[in-house]
Amino acid sequence: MKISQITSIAQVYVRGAFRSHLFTGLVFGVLVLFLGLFLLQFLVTGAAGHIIQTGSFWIMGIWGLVCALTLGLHSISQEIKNKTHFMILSRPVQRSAFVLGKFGGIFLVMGVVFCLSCLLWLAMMKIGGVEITAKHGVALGFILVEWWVLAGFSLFFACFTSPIFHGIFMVGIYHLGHWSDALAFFADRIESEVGQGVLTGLYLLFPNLESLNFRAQAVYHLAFTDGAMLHALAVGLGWASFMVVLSMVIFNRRRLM
Amino acid sequence: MVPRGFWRRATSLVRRIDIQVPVGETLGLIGANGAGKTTTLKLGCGLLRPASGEALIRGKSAFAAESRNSVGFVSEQQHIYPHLTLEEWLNFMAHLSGIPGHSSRDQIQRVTEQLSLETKRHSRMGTFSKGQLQRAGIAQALMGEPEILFLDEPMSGLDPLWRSRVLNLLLDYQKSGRTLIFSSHILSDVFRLSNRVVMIRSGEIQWQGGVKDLMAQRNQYQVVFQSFPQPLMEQIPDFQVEAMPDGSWTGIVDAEHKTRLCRLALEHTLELESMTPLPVELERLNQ
Repeated sequence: MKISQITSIAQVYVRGAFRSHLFTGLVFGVLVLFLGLFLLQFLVTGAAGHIIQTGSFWIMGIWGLVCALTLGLHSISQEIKNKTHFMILSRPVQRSAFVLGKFGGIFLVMGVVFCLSCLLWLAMMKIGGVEITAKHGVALGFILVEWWVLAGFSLFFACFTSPIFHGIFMVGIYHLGHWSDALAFFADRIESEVGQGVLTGLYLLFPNLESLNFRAQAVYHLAFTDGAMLHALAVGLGWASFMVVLSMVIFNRRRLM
Repeated sequence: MVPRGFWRRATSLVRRIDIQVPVGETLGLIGANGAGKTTTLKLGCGLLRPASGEALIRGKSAFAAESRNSVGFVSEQQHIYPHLTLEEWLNFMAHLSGIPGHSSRDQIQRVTEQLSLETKRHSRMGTFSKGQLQRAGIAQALMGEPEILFLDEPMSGLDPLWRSRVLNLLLDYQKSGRTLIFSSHILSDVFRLSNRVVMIRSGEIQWQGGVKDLMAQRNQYQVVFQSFPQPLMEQIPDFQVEAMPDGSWTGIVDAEHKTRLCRLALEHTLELESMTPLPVELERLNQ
């Protein structure tokens, strides 16, 4: 697998995203959401700072799902639909390199959208008069990690599902990922061993996206340990890498017509 | 085998295809639409993995990336990125083939000149006409001067002038001792380019052999008579003739009646002016 091939595929993906309306749409969308939040602050009395922070973090979180979904759909499914993958794979390119290149492209486009969203987030904080601390930085950093986990899942689904199922699965993963803590909570308290096993199994099946969530700590100035951060980093990077490897395995075995 | 339908039942698109192409040979694949020519080409250049059997390039699995080091592929319809300019696309293909930067610039120059696309180098491919896209497809396949070219209907979408130019380009490629495997509906192209022809029908090889053998498979002749061919009309009830403005009569005779016709002409019962073998029709061979 050649690095130059992976970077070339990623570069073409990024070029495509920037030159089509995809990138503009993603930036415009997050701008509209922040604009909505800006207007919302005039409708509330008291704790406007908290609302702005919570709302801004929510936008940043949900926009990761939107970005992962649209960019994932635009990657492999679009290639297969347009049959452009044949031109790439007619060259001495391994299918794994193709998948990695696509992930690289998604990763980069998401990175740019995230940076621009962060500028909007920063503007919102300034407008709301919120004092920005290092905890805000940590929360934002882990939102970016969550974006990459979702990108990994999106790439995985793009390798074998139709766009509709891709969307359904992504929304499902996002919500289950944020609620999977509850599965572990119930597993600890349930008496039945079978039930405990099933709940633990389900907990392990989905990424624990809540472990990447440091938003409350940033908003309410709560403490968190370095261990929690390391655990979150391991969960995030582990799941993202696992999904990319799984995507490569599936795409390698997929019959392309 | 591909899964088809709601129950994803396995359906085979091609089966029992056994083709060996020696280095330097030009092989033409012919067959009706849906016969399996494109699938055979895709299997050959490693784009598809066979459910059973194997496709090899120089003894290695065609599916392995390294086997495609010196392979070029042209699809019937050009699958392009509309947002890329031709130069960006060719550069991309060069990178994927591992062609170094300075060499890729020279090669882009060469292939765009060969296919008269110099003025289009900086245009986005989404704005290209069908013919320009087809030429761009051929240009990308020629990048890196591949040892083996797989071409699926290479003349598709080209005007007569460009058909002739591309044909000459492929003849030059052939003369350089490289291998060419292509599919075509245009038999004159197949006759001109190929050393060997494989006819595919319903995913199976129906016939294969040299071009001369294929050409020998004449099954019709156009005949011209100086006078009305009454004796022949009596012997072949289905035979129909048409009066020509110069007073001659013309008709088409099946190969099975050739001997009878020649005998009548030798006996001077018929005033035979000419007898021309008609090119074999793909549709007829596929019957």
